[in-house]
Formats: sequence, structure tokens, C-alpha cells
Amino acid sequence: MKNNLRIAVSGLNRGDNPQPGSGIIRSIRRNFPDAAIIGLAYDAMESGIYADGGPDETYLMPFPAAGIVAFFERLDAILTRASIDVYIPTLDSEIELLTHARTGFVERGIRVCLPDPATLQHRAKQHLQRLAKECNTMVPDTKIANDTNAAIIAGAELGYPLIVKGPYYDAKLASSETELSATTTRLLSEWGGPVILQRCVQGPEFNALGLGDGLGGMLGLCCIRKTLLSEKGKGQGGITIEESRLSALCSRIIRSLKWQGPFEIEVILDAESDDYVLIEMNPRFPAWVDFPSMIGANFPAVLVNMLMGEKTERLPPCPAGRFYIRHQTEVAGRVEDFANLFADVPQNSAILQTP
Amino acid sequence: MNNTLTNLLLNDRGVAFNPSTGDALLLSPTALRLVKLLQLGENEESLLRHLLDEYEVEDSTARRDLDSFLTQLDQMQLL
Repeated sequence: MKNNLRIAVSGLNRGDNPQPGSGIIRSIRRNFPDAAIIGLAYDAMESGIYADGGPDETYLMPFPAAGIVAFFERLDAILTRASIDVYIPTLDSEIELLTHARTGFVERGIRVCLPDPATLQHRAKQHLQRLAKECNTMVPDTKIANDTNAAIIAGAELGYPLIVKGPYYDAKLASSETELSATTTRLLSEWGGPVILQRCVQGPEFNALGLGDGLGGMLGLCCIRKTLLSEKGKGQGGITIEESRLSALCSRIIRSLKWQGPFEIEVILDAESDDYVLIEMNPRFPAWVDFPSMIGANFPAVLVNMLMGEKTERLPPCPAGRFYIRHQTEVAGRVEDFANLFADVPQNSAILQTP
Repeated sequence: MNNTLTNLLLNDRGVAFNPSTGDALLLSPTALRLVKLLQLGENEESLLRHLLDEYEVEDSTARRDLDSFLTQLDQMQLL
């Protein structure tokens, strides 16, 4: 493999709702210290742009809502200044867009791991019940709604409290019809439809990070129990576990989908039934991706090897009892750094238009 | 005794970690000793004998404390 790989990564924000990019960069640097990291940022205020150990160079991208033409126009402009060997997309909305344009990367000589559109849809929140049935796995009672009235009807059928989710991001607890109505209206305006309504499941939450080999197997799996939750329910800390039932559940899902590439599976252990209940499957690395790298299972490095056609061996299991706590800190930037991000952006670019 | 207790990871400072659930407990030195004995397959009568041999305690107190301890383990689904 060439010595000086050039690897592009998106999702660089590490603020209140951290994205995976900065963790991926840290992991890649552990195994490929000579690699050049190109940050693709959707916002000039993504904190990871300015962090020590962050990207060697960063370029602004148009929001995914601007469409695939705008994406590749901008990428082509970047490629005149910086070559890219591998791209690791990290945002759900971005992956949703790029899954339809995989040949665009091939034509540009960029290696990227993206599920095909049908497989991506198969594991989407609104289709989770079907996937769960195929994999003999429990899911919360779920209803789909495309407008507020439909959500209210679905809410009455499910009962309160319930969880309301946008198609890509965000999940809110609704304890009444009033809360459900307000949350649904906001989610539809922010993310578009549909909204997904799920019965509340009470119990400890678990996440599994893994890498599918595309043949139905996995190149590694790291299961954690969430130990600290933010007010928004985001995991701020976790501890590794060894649980055969959870590992088997993940295996069944990945085998059914023949998933290739990174994933995160979120489950709750239902305190009433003692069953693992599948909450969602994300088609990307999670924000805590660098934690397994610290304890010997570097998933992003294996992904890079896989994309570069190198021999890849299954990652070692993460020993139980290792924990992480998210540690936020400040990064210092200069106005010049911020301004430089816009230096190569044309005045009429989609980057400068609010989506 | 169920597998959960057998699988508990113990350290000498009294931290007991359940690798299946991620639960962690802090055990007193006496509780740590008793859990180690349970993991070796000792029964309730044997635990009582150990308590009486190793600690300066009345028989009735040892029985009461052991009952309380085993009840707690049962409530935590470790027995």
C-alpha cells in the first residue's frame, strides 16, 4: 500500500452532539501516522477543523440537501487542489445522498464504502420492523406518520409516553398529545418526513460498533453498555461488555443484510421481558469510534485497509470492563483560519446558501 | 448458583463487574470473601463456617448478616 495515503473524512464537529469524524481521524493517525487527512466540513464552525491533530487541510462542502450535482461539483473543485484516495462519509443524510452516486467516486478514483440504496433503506428506521422480523429480533411497537394528524392518531394507538424520531436524526420523548403535536411539527420542518413513533422501552441501553465484510460476516464487533447519558439521551460514557445474546443479535442483522462497512446497532434490554429490543441501526461509525481503537480494535484502520484492497483480519474482541467517558474541551482558532475556509468557495456556491 | 455469579470479574479492591450487563458493584471485604467462596462452589453452611472461623462474630449475628447478604444477591439476580 502507498505510504502517504490521503484520506478524506466528514463530520468533524465535537460539540454538544458530536459527530464521528474527529474520532475516525484519531484512529487513522494511530495506524497511519503518515496519512494526510482532508476534512470535508459542512459548516465552518465544526470544532474538529481547528483541533490539534485534526485534518491537515479542510474544505467546505455544500449541505447534502443541495443535491448530488452540487456535491460532485464541489468535490471536483477540491480535487484540483488536493487528491483523495479514500473517503469516509460519516453523516446519515450524506450517506443517504451518496448511496445513489457510488460510481461517481469510482470515476474519480476515490475508494469509499457505501451500502447500495436498497440495503440502506432496508435498515432505515421506518423499515426496522421488517428487518427485525427477518432477523428474529424484537423492536418496539412502531408507527410511521407523514403529518401531524397522522402522528396524533398513531400516538393514541401506541399510548404515552412514546419516542418520536426524525428520519435521520433526533429523538424526543412525548408524554402527551400536545407534546407529540409540537415535536412532530418541528421534526417534519427540520428533517422532512416521515416521523417514526415508537413505544417507550424501559431498560439499560447498549450499542454495538462493527464492520461488515459484505458477505454476511463481521471484521469486528465492540459492544458497550451506555453508562452516562446527556439530557438529549446521547451516550456520554460506556463500558465494554461480553454478551453472547447481543453479539448473536448483531450477527443475525449483519448476515441478513450482508452489510459491508461500518455500522452501529442500538438496543435496549427490555426490563419487563429481558429481551434485547432493536432501536436502530446506523450506517456509519458512531462518535465513540476511537474508544475501541484505544483498547486494541481500530475499526477505521481496518476499513482503510479493506478499501485499499489490503488483507484484513478480524479485529480482536474488546475485553469486558473497559470504559470511556466523553471529555469536552475547547479548541482555539483564528479568524484567519475561519476565513481561509471560504477562500476557494465561489460567491454563488451552494455552500453559502442556507439549505 | 447461576452463571452470572460465576462470571463476575472481581478485583482485590472489591470491585465486581458483570461482563454481560456492564453492572459494577463495590463489595465490602467480607462480601468479596463470600462471593469468592460462592464462585468456588461453597454452600450456605460452608459460608457460615468461614464467617465464624475468620471473623470475631456471634453465631446469630453471622447467620443474620449472611441471610441479608444472600437476599441482596438474589435481588440482584446473582444467585
